Amino acid sequence: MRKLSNSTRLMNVFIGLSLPNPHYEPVLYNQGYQLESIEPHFVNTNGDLINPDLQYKSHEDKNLVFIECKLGAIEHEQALKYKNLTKTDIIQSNISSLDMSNSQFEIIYCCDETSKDKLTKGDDLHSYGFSILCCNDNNISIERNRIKGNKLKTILSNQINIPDKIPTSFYPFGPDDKKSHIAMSIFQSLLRLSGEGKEEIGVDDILRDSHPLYDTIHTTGKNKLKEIVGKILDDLDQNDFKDVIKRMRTTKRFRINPRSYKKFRDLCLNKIEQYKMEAPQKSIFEY
Amino acid sequence: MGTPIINNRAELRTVLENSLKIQEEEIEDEFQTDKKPKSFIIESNIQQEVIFNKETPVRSFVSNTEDSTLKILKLSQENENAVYYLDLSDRRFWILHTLGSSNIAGKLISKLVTFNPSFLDYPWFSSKSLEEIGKLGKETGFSLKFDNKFLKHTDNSYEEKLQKISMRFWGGQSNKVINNLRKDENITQGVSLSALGLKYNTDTGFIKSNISSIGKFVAMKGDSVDSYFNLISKVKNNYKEFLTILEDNYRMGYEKKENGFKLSGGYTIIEFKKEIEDLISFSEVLTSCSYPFRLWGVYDIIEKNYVKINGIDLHTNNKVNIELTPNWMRIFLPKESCGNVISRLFSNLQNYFDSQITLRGNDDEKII
Repeated sequence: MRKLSNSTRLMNVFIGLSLPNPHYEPVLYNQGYQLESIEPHFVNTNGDLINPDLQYKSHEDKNLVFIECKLGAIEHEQALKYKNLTKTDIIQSNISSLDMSNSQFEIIYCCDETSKDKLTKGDDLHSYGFSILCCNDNNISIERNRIKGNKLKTILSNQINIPDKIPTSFYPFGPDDKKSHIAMSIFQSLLRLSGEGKEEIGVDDILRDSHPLYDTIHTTGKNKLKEIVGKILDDLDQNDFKDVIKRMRTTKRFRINPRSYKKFRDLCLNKIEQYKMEAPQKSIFEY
Repeated sequence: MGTPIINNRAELRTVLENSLKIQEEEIEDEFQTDKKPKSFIIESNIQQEVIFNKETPVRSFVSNTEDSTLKILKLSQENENAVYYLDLSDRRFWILHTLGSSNIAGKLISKLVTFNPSFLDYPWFSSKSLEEIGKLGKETGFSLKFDNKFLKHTDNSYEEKLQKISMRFWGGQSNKVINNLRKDENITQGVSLSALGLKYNTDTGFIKSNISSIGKFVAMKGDSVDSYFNLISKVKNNYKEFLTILEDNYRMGYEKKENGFKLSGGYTIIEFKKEIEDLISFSEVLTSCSYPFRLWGVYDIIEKNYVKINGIDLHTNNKVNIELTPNWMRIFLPKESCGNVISRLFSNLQNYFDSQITLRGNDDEKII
């Protein structure tokens, strides 16, 4: 029944755990762990790019945590970069407000039920030494426990319950989401951008408007999203929306005129229903 | 009596004060007086120079006075027209005073405010906010209005469900009457204030005014225009403070830093006492692009009993994302969106779905 891809869900779950909310216990927030950065990126002393998904800090635990959400196998090259990361790299990158001279750091991989075995086997084979968390439908469990932070150890020693209906708006979609789900954000941005009076709109403009973290998505993911959105726009241009959206031959950009809000909304809803009937698309890991 | 042309605030004060002195039989039919001062608070996200040069459903003409923050505004449409004194001393919340016909003045303002995107909106006083306003003086009456827009003729036991309530009450002890109405479980979900009457005193005298949930004031009786100004100003400032809390704490920002993005802010949650029976049909009504919700949106079920709405607040053309369950909705606003959409949504859900809803922040802080 769930419509969100596991990767989008994982990002929303972990961001949600760091913000107060009345519907479930935000364990990271409650234990003083703050979300310091989403998609942090910096280079180590060798000049390699380090780019985990989330960065948390705890002044009390004197601990900096990088979370890497991984729904396929461990990428050896990336894992080696994490393994060789030093405190000096972090201090020099000036990436945290934590006083790193008396703090530690750790890397935690997060996966789902389907990728758990791949991750643990990869870790067994290469002894990376990271902790591995598995987030399934109802809870987060620890698969490899090498947690360094004392408070974090306490948090993760018990299963963390994940309720139904987690917030899904922090990270609206990713390359693995279904076209019907991505289309909702795309339609919303089409209306917004057309209301701004922009004459012509490109795929990048739409993606940037529809996803607050679009620029941080890796190139392969971006390309897949561009492909999905390009297909949606071409489809609109050729079918029911032809009075509303037009692809300009010369610039390859789009002109949008929603005409009536209600009519445009109804067209969008019909299109979403159509997309839901289509065959499921491939995951980015199958590419 | 028309609305005479003035040159400055001193003259504005004199004109409104003189109108208060006109002997008029006090009619209790609120908002119908054509002789006494009427005022409207308007929430603005646009400069007056821009909106009055834009194509709108009403023709407008603005002229200056000696005071740069006080203008004369003429609005007209077909055979109807009205003149207002437009007080721009607060750029976010304009105040328009008029001595013209109450009905026409209200109708023309409604045309100006409710076309999309006008970047103008009403201040939406919730039932509780109106009750709080009532505490500023002595309540002299109230109106209730409830119309269940989410109820369909095809719903199970349609006839047994609360469809509409409309009621006006004049006289003292209105609080007691409201509380007694709330005790009746058959109608409690419809006990939502739409206006109240208030006697407000200052050292300069008193004013008896009706105040509606969309920020319309009608002076019914009184001997002090300063009390009238003071009352409007207090109500406006309280609402501004409320909106500032919403916008400072409950919008989400993704600030791009040198090494990543920093998430800031939060979101709001509306909790329902009455369960939503059909989430899709509820979303359809909510996002149908019409007044009073003024929301465009596409929606889909993302889990059992969980619907995501990607919406646009049509008053400013900004995003609003809603996560809806039978018992609550989360409202996510980006930093650039106007917080008034939360207030509009809340106030109208009270009037059109369930008066017993509450608004809180994700930090569990109760807001309304």
